[in-house]
Amino acid sequence: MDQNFLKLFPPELQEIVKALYDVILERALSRAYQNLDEEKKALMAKIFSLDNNKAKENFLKEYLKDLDSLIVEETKKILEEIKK
Amino acid sequence: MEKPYSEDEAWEEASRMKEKINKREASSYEEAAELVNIENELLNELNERLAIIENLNEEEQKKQYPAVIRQCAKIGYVDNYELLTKALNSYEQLIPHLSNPDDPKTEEAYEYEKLSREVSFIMAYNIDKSNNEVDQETENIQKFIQEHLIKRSRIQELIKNKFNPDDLEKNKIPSLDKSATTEVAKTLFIRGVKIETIKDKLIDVQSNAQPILDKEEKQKLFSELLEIKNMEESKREETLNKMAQKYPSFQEIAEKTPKPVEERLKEIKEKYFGKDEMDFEKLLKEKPQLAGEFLKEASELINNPDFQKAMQETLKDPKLIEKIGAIQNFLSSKENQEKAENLEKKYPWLNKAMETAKTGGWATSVGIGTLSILFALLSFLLLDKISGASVGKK
Repeated sequence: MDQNFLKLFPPELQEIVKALYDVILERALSRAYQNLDEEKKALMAKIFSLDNNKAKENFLKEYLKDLDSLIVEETKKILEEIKK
Repeated sequence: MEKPYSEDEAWEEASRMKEKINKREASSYEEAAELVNIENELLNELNERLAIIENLNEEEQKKQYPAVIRQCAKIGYVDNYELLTKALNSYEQLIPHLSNPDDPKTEEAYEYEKLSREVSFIMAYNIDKSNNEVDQETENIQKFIQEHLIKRSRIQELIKNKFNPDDLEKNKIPSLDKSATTEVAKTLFIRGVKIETIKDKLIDVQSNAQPILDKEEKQKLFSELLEIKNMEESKREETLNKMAQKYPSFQEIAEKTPKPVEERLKEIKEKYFGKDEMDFEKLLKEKPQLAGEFLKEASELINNPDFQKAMQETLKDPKLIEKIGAIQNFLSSKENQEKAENLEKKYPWLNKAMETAKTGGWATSVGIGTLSILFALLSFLLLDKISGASVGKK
């Protein structure tokens, strides 16, 4: 997460914001995974079980191009849940 | 140089002028027109004083009403009865014995009765004078008019150079914090803008962007305005000049006053999403160039330390406790916890993917996803009326 993002919140709120960000990201990533074909799913599980950071970043850039959109969607859903 | 008129003398002159008008004895049409102008100015002056006094605290009101009531009585003609009655009624309300005769008769009540007798006497005298006397001091009246016109033209000049009152009428004022609101109100007042206009368009303006002054702050401001109003002519002119230099124009104030964070958010929201919901995906798909501009502007704002500081302060507002509580409840809810556990069990590598997403190159440039979280969250906390991020169906 961009650290400046957190600087917008008072220290006592930063943990909550981080936790919320994690929930959104977790849900968006799992959906991104589900959108992949079987071959890419296996590749994703493999790459993120290893310690090759470059490969992980490349995978995100190459195959999870819709992650931003999924984050947008998950944000909306979660805020709706919170508003309830 | 001849001694300028005292305030009492000016009111006396006004009475004489009124008589002249009533008796159709102005020496010319122009003179009559000027006399009407002056009469209107004096009426406005009384209205202004009353409008200020009404906003003072009770003790100050009690001190100020007698003088303005005497002034109303000195003008003492049919047009001003309404003002006189209004002032007397308002003053009466402040004296318990008068509004409720069962209350003990206080010194204030005696004072009121004395004032009441004095007012009756002044009015009777004026009526008598208007029946029997025609004042011939045309020269003095002309001087009086001239002094007023010179004063007015100075004010006009200062207004023209420093501030455009039309901006106030057209609601073009910038968002001001409480202190700037007070300073601007004083500046406008000394520059000749009417108190009603200042009150309606600046002091009592309710908006998210502009915190309204509380009761005590307002009373303090009106006391200061009254001080300005009560200044001697020479002192007022001196102050006018000093203030014209000291206080900036609206534009300068707008440039110097950081906008409240809510307003900046709203501005950005409206600039890129119009009145609609913040539909990031639609923006990205339909207006990619505008989306690029949004990313740039929003990123700059997020990285601005002044904005960060202002946002932190804004988010400390105790009114947000309920909304923050709702987020906490969601995070600690059984449903959310179970969902997270299930995802972690199902995808053991998910945490590592999250770490990469958060710390890797993908995250270093703030993307539309991150911004959507931020803007939706801030909108939820600060701008109730703006709904959170919305997405079109894929």
